[in-house]
Parts: sequence; C-alpha cells; structure tokens
Amino acid sequence: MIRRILAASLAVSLLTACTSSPDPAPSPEGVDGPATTLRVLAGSELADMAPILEDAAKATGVTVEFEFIGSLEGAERVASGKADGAYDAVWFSSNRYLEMEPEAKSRLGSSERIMSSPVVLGLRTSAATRLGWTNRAVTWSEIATAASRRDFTFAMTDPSASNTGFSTLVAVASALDGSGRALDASAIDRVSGPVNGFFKAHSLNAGSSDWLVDEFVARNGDLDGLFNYEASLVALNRSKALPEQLTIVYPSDGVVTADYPLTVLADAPEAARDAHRRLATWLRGTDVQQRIGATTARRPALPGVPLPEGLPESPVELPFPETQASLKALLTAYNDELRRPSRTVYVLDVSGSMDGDRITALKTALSGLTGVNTSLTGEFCRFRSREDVVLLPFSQTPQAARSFTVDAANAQPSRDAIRGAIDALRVGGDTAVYDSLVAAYASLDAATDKDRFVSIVLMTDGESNQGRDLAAFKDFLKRRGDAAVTTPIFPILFGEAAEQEMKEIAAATRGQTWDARNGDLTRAFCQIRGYQ
Amino acid sequence: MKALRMVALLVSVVLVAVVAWAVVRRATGPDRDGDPVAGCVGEQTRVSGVIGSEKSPYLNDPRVLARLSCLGLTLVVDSKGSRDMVNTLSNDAHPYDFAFPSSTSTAEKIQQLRGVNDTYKPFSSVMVVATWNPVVTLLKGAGVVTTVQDRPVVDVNALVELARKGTRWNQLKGNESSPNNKVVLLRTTDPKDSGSAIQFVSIASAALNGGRPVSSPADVAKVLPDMCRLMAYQGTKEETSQDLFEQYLSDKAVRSPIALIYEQQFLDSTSAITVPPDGEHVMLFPNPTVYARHTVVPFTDAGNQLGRALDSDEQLQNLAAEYGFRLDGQALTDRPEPPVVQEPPEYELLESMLLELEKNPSFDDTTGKCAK
Repeated sequence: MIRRILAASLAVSLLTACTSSPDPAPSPEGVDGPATTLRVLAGSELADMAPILEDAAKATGVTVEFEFIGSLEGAERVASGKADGAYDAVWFSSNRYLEMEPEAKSRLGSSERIMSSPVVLGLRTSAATRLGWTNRAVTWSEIATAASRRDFTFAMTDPSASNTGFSTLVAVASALDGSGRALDASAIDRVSGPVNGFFKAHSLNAGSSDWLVDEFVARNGDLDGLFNYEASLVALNRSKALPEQLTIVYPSDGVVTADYPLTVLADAPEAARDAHRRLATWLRGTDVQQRIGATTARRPALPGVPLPEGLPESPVELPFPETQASLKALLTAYNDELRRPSRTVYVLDVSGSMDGDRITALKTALSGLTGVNTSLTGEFCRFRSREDVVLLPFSQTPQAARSFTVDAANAQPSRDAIRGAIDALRVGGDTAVYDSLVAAYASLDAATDKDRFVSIVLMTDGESNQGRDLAAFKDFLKRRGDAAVTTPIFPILFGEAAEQEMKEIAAATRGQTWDARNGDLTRAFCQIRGYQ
Repeated sequence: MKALRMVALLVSVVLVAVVAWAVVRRATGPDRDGDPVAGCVGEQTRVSGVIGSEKSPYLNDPRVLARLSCLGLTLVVDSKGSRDMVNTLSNDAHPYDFAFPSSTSTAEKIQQLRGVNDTYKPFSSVMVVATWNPVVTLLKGAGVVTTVQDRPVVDVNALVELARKGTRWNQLKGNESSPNNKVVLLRTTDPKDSGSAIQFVSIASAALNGGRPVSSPADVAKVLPDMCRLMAYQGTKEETSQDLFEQYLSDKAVRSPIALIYEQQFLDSTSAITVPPDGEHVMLFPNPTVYARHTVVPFTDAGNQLGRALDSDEQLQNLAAEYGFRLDGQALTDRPEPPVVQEPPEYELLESMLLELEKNPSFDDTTGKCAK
C-alpha cells in the first residue's frame, strides 16, 4: 500500500488527450471534442479511476486533473468562493455537504451521477464467524450491542473530516432511532445512549479513509474490522494485503451510500462546461459503466447495467438528515458526547529560533482550537468536551507538562484556560526534541484514565541539538515495545525542521508528518484533529 | 393493473397513430430561411438552453440534434433543477438562449425575471407514481391504492395519514419480514430544486385541501404542516426527477417502493434508460394528479427559433411522442386519462408554499408544525 500524503494536495495529471489514437470501445455520440483540461476538486478515493480517465481522455479529449481534499473541507472551499476560477468541477462521494450550505450550493452547475458505493462494515472473517454474522442479516442494533460489549473492535474515520465516518455515524444513529425518518436534533438526543455504546469499540481514528485502510493493514489483524466504502473493502480483499479476507456486513436495516456526482462549477468557462458534459456522457455509457464496476467495485449509476461481480443487491438506504442544523447537531453530539475522548500531548518548540513571527503563528494556530476559529471546519477542530490536552513546551530541556481536561458540562472556560497557557509561552534557548518526546510518553504513562485515543503532536522549527539524538530515541521506543506503537507522533514541519528525522519519527510510531512550511499552521493543527 | 402494463408494452406500436395525427396537426411552420422539409439549412446557429432533467434524453437524442441541425440550430443543453435554473437566470450574464422548465409556475417566474412575453408549450406530461407489483398489493391492503373510475390510483390522503401515524413499510400487513423500516412515503425530488417536486406540492396541497386547489393564504396555512412532514421525513431528496427515476429503476421494490415521476419517463420507449417490460414495474396515477406543461421561455432569436421548432416541426413532435410526452391539446388513444386531475394553485400561493418549505425544511412532531 502506498501511504498517500494527506496534507499536501496531490495533483494527478493524466496523459494528455489525443483523439487520433484508436478507441477500445465505441463511444456514445457527441462525446468527442477539443482537447480540454478539466480541473477537478475531488475525494482522494477517486485516484482509482485513473486508468478509466486515461481512456476518457482518448475518447473525449477531456483530461482530468485532480486535486484531492476531504469532503467537509472541500465544501468549505467551494462555499468560500476559493474554488471558483481555480477548479472547473467537483467530484466528491456526495454533494450532500455542498447542498446543505447555501453559499456552496449556489456555486454548483449541472451534475451527473457516475457510480455509487455504500458505507458498510468489513470484518475479519474469523471475527465475523465468532460473532455469528456470516450468511445472515445483521441489524445495526446487533452491531451496536456487540460493540458496546467490545465483542469486536473497529476502525472508522473522523465524521468531521471524512465522509465514510460521517455516513457511519448517520447510519447507526438513524437505525437505532428506528423512527424510519430523517434524524432531527431531538432524535439525536434520544439515541445518544446506545450510540455512545457503539463507539466503545472504536479503536482507530483517522482524518482520511486512505490512511485508515493503510493503518488497518499495518496493524495486521490487531483490529477486527473497519467501516468504509464497499468498493474500498472489495479492493482490500483483492489486494490480499490482509492475513485473512474481510467479510462484508451489510446492515440489513440500511446503509448510507456515496453516489459520486460529477458536478461542474456554475462559473466554469464554456469550454469546461462542454468538457464536463462530454466526460459525464462518456462515463455513463453502458460499456464504461461496466468497466467502472469491474475496475473499482463501485456500482453503476445507469439502470440496467449489471452489478459488479459478487456484489449483493443494494440494501435499504437510510434517510440522510437534510438540514445543516441537524448535521451540526449530530457532529457536535459526536464530538462532545458520543465518541471516545482523546488525550493529546502537544510537544511545542519554544527555543530561541521561534522568536518573533514563528511563536506568534504557533500561538494563533493553537488558539484556533480553543473555540476562537468559527469557520465550519474550525468549529469542529476545537477542543472537545471530555478531551485531555497536555501542553509540553521545550527548549534545551522539556518544561513541566500542563494538563487540562475540557469540562463536559461547561467547556468554554476550560478552553479559555488552555488559551491562557498558550498565550503565556515564552521563547529562548536550544532545542531538545527527543528528550521532550520521552517526557511526553512519561506524562501519558502517568495518566490514570486509559480508555482514550492517545497521540502526540510535535511542533518544531529546527534540528534537535540538545540531549538524546534520533538513534537514542529509537532505542527508547524499542525498549517500550508495543505500547509506543499505539501512540503515534504527528510531527509538523515548520521553518527549518529536520524533514528526514521528522519522517523517521512518524514512521517509527506510525504517525504522519504534516507540512506547514507554506505557513498554514492553522490548517495543519486542524487536520491532525481527525487523527486524535 | 394488467391494462396499464399492456399500455407500457404497446405504447410504441400505438404511437404510429399518434405520429400520423401529429403530421396532420402542424401543417404550417413559421417563416424561416430555407425550407425545412425540402432540404437542410447550411448555416448553423448555436443555441444553448437550461432544461429540466426529464427532457434531457429527448433533447440529447441524435435524431433530435440532427433535425435541429437541419433547421440550422446546434443545440447544447444543461440540466438543472428549477430553483437552480431560476438562480442561474437571475444573473444578467447567464449564457443561455432559452430555458425549458417543466412547470408553468417556474416558466412564469423566469418570464417575470427576464421580461419575456411569448412562450412555447410543445408538449406536456402527467405526474405518476412509479411502483412495483408486490407493492401495489401491499398498498391495496393498507387502503392506499384504491379504485376510481375502474382504475387503480394512489390515494394521496391515505399516504398522508400513514405518515402522520409514522407507519413503517415493515408494519404493513403482509410485509412484516421486510428490512425496510422507513416510514411509508412517496419519494419525491427536492422542492428547492426540482420541477417534479413543485408538481407534488400542487398534488399534495390539493389533496389536503379536500380535493380543491388551495385558493387562499388560510388554505395554505392549513395544509403546510403536513407538506413539511412529507418532505422532512424523507431527509435529503434527489435534485432532479431523472436521478429519482434512475434510482427507481436501479433499485428494487424494497429500496424505492413508490416514487413520483413524469408519465413520459415511464412510457419513454426510445432512450437509453427505459422501463423494462417485465410486468414488475408498474405506473399508477396519484389521486389527484396534475399535468406538467413543459414550457420554452426564449431569451434570444435563437431561443425563439428553437421554441418554434419544438412546437411545430413534425419530426421533432413525433420524436417527443416517442419519448412518451403528450403532444399539446391532444386526446391520446394509447394511454388512459388520469381519473382525477387538479389544476396547480395560483402562482403566488404555490410560491408561498415553496418558500415556506425552503425556509422550514424540518417538521416538529411535538408542536405539529414546520420547523427550521
């Protein structure tokens, strides 16, 4: 598996079109046209469409250039108008988030559904057998009951950052509500008990589905299952990357399905709108639809095209909340009540080199998590009720760690106290990165409540020049054994940070580096929240 | 039931008669450079339009495009829901020569917005419920499918009653083993977006108003709570009727038991997406139903030419008939007439209901009112 770089945008340029080359299959009429590049803001899982889009370029002259981004962040990019002019089209798992935001919706042009994939549960076959969930209908209620007893463990992405996590949250909450209609804010209150039980088995969190799958594989059977697109689970089985195959469990009372509408932006130039129409028509041709199914295991959008081999009939579709108010209420309830809380140690470089703009940038970015950033993504990045936040500033030695627990009943004063501590940070001295990381592990070991998502964020602008070196730190990790592996470190690259060493730290702890050298420290701190 | 299925099967055959009739009907065309019958116009004018999605298969048919090209028009269309259509057209810099919505009310709104007097109504369609044979049996048992003038219809008031009680599909007698635990609701498109949902607002408001179109703000206030309920319980809805129709066809009965679409979509015998003649797919009229009068609103000379061509060119009219549309003003022998038809309410009243549904898309069970 290739772990994809998450923070940086990844542009996939496909072969430039040339309409003279022979076409493998007859194309629908009217799809051929002038060579055009269509710049598309998209969900990263669409990287698997590359071979099909290469042929699309040959048949239609339309070359797709992707930039990948998370669903909610993508919706915000469109709503803010920043996508206008920079992209011609968007292609996400669904337009639900975009349509709920009037500012985003008004910027969308015509839309063509290309394919679909429900979000379902992939379970190691031995776990499915142990639970008795093979060859029979399994309801969400059974899944939630087993999860509340921790009869199995699962991985799921953060609903504020990724569509698969949000779809799972909507499905489990709607099904447990059982009223047979779209969730509203009061229904969310009604189901909070059982849904909270469901999340007791949530053992791996991630800001992106790709990372989740890679980490699930890397843990090699340590977790029983994961919630993801049916298509991704089928691809995982085909890859034979796991020691045993996944049994796909389709909750019989319903699923939430991604339907991948290819949507041109309203202000896209005429040539791009024409290219969008030609590309969508080609992608919706019968042969291409069948090929999409065979290549990606996504279901065809066109009626009458057979399902990809081995896939069952679609389960019932659960109603999806329609209003932004209910969506926000559900996410807020998830963060503050339903999910397992997290504990994060922020290991913060306050050495002399941080003086001036850098410490200001750090304070601004970190303060953004204390409730002062009121953008949509900012709102879901703030420190959550029940969360433990540990600040561990360091220069030539680690300073004393300060722990805060965000009060469940009255969160904002706790967040204000954290902001006070951030504002009080002072700079000066050398840089002891590794001694400070060791101190971070010590503070985690000293914590009494162990039932949390635990991680470390490391922010430094330079090389370690005091105390342990990288080799000594790796020895330390080795002595700690497996315990260290479940505490990932997320280093943020900033200033002159030693990139190679940061990458080694991330790799040794199964974390991930985040690049903020372009100056966007706020975005980096916010995106890491999806992994906490 | 059997009669309806026969209709679906035989429609293409019977359409020959329709075609013959249409040939006679439009004897004179408008003055135009070149004779459309004798030969084709060499010079091409590009004409671009924003249309309701249900007409997309027809307007993208190569034969339609070729005929228009012969008349000197190169047609390019974008499909949009009616609200999006109106939004786009409120921008003075919109790129279109014409709009082609499915409802009179949207057409009127666009006429008002762009100061257009003359429109073309080349064909119409009736709203129908697309369903499945076993579902019809269930709904008969539940009193939702009843008989009017010897014809099975879907009683909209009975559906409202089930929604009020929160009755689920798997609570219907004989359906207890179904995994579908959703409230029995007619799937519609989103009234914020789509012409077909606007038709539903006409249908449901008339049903809730004792079988008469709402005619006063007091009527509107009376029917609104249930309208909100019918919309809100569904959650997110499809933006276009073509998406809803495609989902009905892709899904099985358990996933899309009843959906409101255009009769034309069900009877279309010619596009890439047609109803398979398997006897399982069934079309019923709702009681009451409404006519969708597809209306071309032209903004430019090219738009006018296009409207005239669709309205009066024999070949284009014949092709529209193939796609299942009802040609203007014509009693058809190939399909039944809907037993109960309502006129849409006055434009202002319809608009006020749509605005309310947009402003308050939720339904509060405790107060029994529309909510944010």
